[in-house]
Amino acid sequence: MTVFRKGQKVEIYRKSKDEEWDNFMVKYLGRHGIVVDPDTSINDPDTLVEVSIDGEGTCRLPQDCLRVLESSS
Amino acid sequence: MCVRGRIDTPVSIRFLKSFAAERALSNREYRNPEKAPDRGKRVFVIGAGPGGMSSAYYLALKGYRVVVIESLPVAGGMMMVGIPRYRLPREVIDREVEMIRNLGVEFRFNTRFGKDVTLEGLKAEGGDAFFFAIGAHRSFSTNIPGEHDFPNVIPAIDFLKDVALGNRQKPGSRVVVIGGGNVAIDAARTSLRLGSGNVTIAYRRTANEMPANQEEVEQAEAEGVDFSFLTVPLEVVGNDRGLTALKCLRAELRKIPEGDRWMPVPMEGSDFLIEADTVIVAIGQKVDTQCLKEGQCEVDWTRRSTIGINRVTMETSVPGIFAAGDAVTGPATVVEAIGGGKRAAEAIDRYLCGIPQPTMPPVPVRRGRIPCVEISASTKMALKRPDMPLLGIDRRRTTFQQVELGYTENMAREEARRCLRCDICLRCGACATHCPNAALQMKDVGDERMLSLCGTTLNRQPLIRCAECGTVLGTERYIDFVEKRTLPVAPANRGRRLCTRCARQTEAVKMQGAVNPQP
Repeated sequence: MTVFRKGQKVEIYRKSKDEEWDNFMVKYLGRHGIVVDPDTSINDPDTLVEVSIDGEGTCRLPQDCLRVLESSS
Repeated sequence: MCVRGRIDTPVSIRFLKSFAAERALSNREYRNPEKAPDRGKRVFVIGAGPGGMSSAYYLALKGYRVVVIESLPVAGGMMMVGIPRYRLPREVIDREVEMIRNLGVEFRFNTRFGKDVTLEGLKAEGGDAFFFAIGAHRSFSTNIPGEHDFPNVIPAIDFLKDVALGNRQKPGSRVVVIGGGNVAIDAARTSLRLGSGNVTIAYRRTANEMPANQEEVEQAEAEGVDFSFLTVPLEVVGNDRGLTALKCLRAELRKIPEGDRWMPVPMEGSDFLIEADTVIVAIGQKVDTQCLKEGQCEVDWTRRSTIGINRVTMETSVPGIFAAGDAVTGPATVVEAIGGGKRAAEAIDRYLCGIPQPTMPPVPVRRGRIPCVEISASTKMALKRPDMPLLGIDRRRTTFQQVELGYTENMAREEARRCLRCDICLRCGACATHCPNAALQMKDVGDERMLSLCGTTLNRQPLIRCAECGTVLGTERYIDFVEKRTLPVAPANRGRRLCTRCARQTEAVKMQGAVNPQP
């Protein structure tokens, strides 16, 4: 599992198996965003991460559907 | 997220909003909008925190009779009893509460849901809908030996709440705070202000992993808070006269297999004592699930012990009951709670009007087009974020006065001038097409569209291709722009992105199937 930090650029690359994954989030697949709030318990793979998704507003997502993008441009 | 952050530091929306809000308040320009006529329906809001007050505000504006039930003697929730006064003055919250009260919202303080009132009781009072924003006010415990043996081991949330409600006694002369989040920093800085001589934050990882805001950590360091990193609490040590020390182990960070996550692993035989007469535990908060159960509110819970909701409408598993804020997300930001409260107010309005609820969350929309401020590129790139003026260090260590003094008008203007106005360009390419000297170029390289000016790459965006033939369609933002304008006349092809040729072919095949159906 990856550690998510504030300001990281991420991609929602797959569906999550977590119960917090909702059907409407399918629309976010492939979208990029920036981690806004990695939550108070950083390093906890179970916490939800708030991501500002390009053009979609913010959403709190399970970590297993996110991957960090190396390029920040 | 601010694009300027990819170059140096993002434009500080917080500082700019703070400046704008203070200026509007000062000029008496901050007024409630016109309220809708009374709809004769009553909504109970449980919890007067940021989520509850936001929903109360928007519901009152829509003409509902709103009653806010609050267990504390004051409104504001975590903003009032969790965030210390030196970060957020209570006068600001009092003023906001008064404006909500002016809309006709009734507050019932010192009333605990589950103890003083129940769901059935509120329904009997005429409640048509209910909104739960009870927050996450219970502390996790460390479960180390001695934690429950001494009265001077205090949960940070309880400590901050007591101080906010007027109990401003020094917690102890030597205070150790366990944790590395904002609450731990708040507890440490509050202890200093109350007169504690030595305040140490014990955190099991390093400074790089601390979840607290960087500026808060820097301010705490400047005020004299000590940090003990890679420190794992082992036992609270004491004698008949009380607590004497916190026994700890040194840890080292080790990378766990299959990932880049580093975990603190205690080192055998490295135990040591941090002398203390008070230990404050700040390792996280959870939702008080008991009060809802005692109040006969049988909503579903998630495995994280938060209220399970539909995240688009904020509806719980029980019709007519909505929830938002930390009780839903777990400990999160004030802004998220405010957003949740607003979304819930809209959903409650739809519920009470019998309007179907949406299945997708709303997409942010542009509220207006703001003209650009003319500024040379060199000046724009040379501008740095102005340093926030801070209160003098001696006054910070002895009083609860607001530490950040706020931007002056000049500083606010300078900071706003750093904005790159990324809201304007859609990457449509019209500028590059018409540039006579080809100074401005837009090229598709691999899977990206690059915009460059005189050889300097200004922007890269991923390309979207036709789902059938792979022809380049453009960038996401450009396609969105076109689709929003053409959707009423040319509906999207079942969510698939197709080029004009493939879209025509698909449509033709569909029509042919309708005219000559297969036997």
